[in-house]
Amino acid sequence: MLERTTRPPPEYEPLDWSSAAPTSILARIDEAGIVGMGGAGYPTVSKLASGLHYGTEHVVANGVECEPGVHADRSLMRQHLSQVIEGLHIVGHCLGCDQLTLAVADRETYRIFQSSDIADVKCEIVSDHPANGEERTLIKSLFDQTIPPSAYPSQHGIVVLNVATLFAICEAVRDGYRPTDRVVTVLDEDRWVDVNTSLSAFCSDESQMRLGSVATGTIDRGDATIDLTTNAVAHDRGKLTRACIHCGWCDDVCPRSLPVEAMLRSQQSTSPQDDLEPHFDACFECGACVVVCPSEIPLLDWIRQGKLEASARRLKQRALKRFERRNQRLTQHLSEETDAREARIRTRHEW
Amino acid sequence: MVHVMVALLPGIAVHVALAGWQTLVVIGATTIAALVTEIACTRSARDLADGSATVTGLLIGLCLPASTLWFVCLVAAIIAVAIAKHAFGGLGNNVFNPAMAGYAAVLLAYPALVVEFDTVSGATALEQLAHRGSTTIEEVSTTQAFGAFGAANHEWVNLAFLIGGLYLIAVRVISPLLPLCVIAGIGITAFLLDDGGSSTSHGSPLFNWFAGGTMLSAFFIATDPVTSPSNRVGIVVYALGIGALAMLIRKYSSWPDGFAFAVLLANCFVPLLERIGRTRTSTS
Amino acid sequence: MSELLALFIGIALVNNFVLVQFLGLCPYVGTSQRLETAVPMTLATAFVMILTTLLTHTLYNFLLVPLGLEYLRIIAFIFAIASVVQMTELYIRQISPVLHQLLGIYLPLITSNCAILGLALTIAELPLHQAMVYAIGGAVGFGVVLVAFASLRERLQSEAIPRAFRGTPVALLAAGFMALAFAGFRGMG
Repeated sequence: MLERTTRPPPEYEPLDWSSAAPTSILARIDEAGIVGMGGAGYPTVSKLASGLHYGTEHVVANGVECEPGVHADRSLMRQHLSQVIEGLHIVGHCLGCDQLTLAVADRETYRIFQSSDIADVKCEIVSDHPANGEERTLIKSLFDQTIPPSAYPSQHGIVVLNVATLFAICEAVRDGYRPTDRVVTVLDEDRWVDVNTSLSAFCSDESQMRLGSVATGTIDRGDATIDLTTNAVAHDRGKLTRACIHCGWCDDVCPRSLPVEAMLRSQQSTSPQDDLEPHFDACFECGACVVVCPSEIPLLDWIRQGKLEASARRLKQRALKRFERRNQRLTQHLSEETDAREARIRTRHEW
Repeated sequence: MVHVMVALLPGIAVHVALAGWQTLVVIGATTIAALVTEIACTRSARDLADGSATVTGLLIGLCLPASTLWFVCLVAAIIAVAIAKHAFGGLGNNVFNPAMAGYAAVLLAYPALVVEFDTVSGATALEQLAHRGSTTIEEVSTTQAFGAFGAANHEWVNLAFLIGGLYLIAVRVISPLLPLCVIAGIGITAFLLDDGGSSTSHGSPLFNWFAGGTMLSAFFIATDPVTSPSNRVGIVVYALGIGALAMLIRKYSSWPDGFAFAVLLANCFVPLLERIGRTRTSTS
Repeated sequence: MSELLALFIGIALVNNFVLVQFLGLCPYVGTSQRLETAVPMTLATAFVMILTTLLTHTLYNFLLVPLGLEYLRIIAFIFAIASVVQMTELYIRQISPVLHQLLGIYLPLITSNCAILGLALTIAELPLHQAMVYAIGGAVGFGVVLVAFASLRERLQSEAIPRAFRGTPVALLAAGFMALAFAGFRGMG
């Protein structure tokens, strides 16, 4: 049983959601400030409003937690499955949708769900490939439907919410709590952590910490704090412990079939190749490559750096183009003015 | 790398059983020279842990015949580790297979000292095929240099390396695709070149699979992840190319066996293969 | 037919201009920094090789030999090569400015490529069809090796290379190992 520290008393009046109007539920989610707790941090009220506007066929509770060494969502589901399911019902009621699905990746949670005789929610089990927790990949494997990159899934009738978000919705709507804590895998152990806790509170020695899992987290630069989207805190494995031996496993495992190895090579060379730039942007940081790497190279750090450099290069090019166009415009303007003046002089002279 | 060393053990054992304790001296000399060079290049013993220098030394020792002089072993190991690996940036950045670069260098520098003579039967089967004049394959194969299905003695060495290679596949250190393609490459080429036994024939696919360094190259040398392509199309082209080139060099050139050169030749084209493979996958 | 094939493989691989005869090393090292320059250089060299072979072969057999002026062949060939390169440049500029732009400085530089003069001197006394196969084989061998070396050099830019070896030294080492690999063809054909 996870210990939950004392929380401030409920800020809002408990709401009887089964008889409440969708707008009042949305207003409650909005004022409680609930965001996507799977990592994206997208405001939940915007997602639900979009789902309400376009009409929703499926609501999916995303319990597929495939990052290595992270089991915060799993622990939450094991303890508070009824609240997660109630959150799913609240969202279903709010969007007028009765096709509710819970997606999980581990057998244990699936077994707990089966023994809890919940009738109107379907439970699907998907493989635990590190990319499967991503929204669009999950939709592809559940409904065999591809969402175009330019659109949100909620515009295509599917709303996917993380189980921790659903739990927070349930507490905010039914009990009136504002979410001030969440389950975090802290150094491989799950516990309730208040938001705004500094990362240094968990660090016993001088070693570097990562905000997030060991594979996908970002390195703490000394000022990182837990927020609602943090699902893990881990020790850093250290920078580039061994050399890349070009085994190609990262290329094989990448769900987007990106040339990860060539990207790393380009980042480590003295002259990066610019034809790889679109690949850096296509990476959605699932961390699958970091998991399989036999040399334990923090590939995502290199790729993130490459992304930053690529966007900086693009900004520079855009500014350069703008500058050139302006110069061109100015010289054109100047020559037009000179032409006009000469024409004026000539006419005056003739006159 | 520990798995690779374990997988090499049966081959080393057969080598020692057939050629005597001198083999161990050669293998020991190349391995120790490789390790010392590695320490000298990195100025620390930290990188010895990855085992790559040990494997390079072992592979050179297994390629060189048992009668090799000690300084030839030394030169091969130093060229392999210092020039072919560390001058290019160390493990992971080398373009050419270090073991084969070192072996090919001494093959060219000391051809008379590295010519392989079997301690049991004089010249090996591949040697006899390379310098036989106009005798047909039936006439040559009655000599002692030929065994039951491959070259004498070498068939057992190759069998031992085949077992070691299967162990590597079983523990998932290498994927079966690359060695299979090397073996297919040499088999197809040998089949096409085999005209049944005239004086220009070079033996059946089965003979060529179990002669010279076929299995050692297919499972232990060509599979080096650093110097082989990482995309699947590249791997197939690379491995088939090694097999075909090795067979062509065996048959047409003045070298008895061609794997060292075939691997180095294929290494030259690996960056090009990866580039082509990459543009293809990113446009599709 | 098999004789021509042997001739082709002989000059393309076994006696490769760059890696075995060590001819044409300046463009080999000079234009191999990027694949984008190596490919146009390959095409331009192949074009000039085939054209000069036709010209110098005619010049030698129908002008120098009848007049007994064989000892002038080096000067005559250099003159012929230079004019072929000049005319090629003019012609390419006229029919395809884009290609001309792409080849840039490398086109006039072919004049001083010793592989071309070496080729002209080697094939002067062969029959014409053999000379043409020889020229095409030489061009293919030069091109394959140059393109492979260019893609290889793009990889030799790692930060891990010791400072003393960065740039040209490691490229020359790589060229040395390529020559080592091509020594495997020794005795073929």
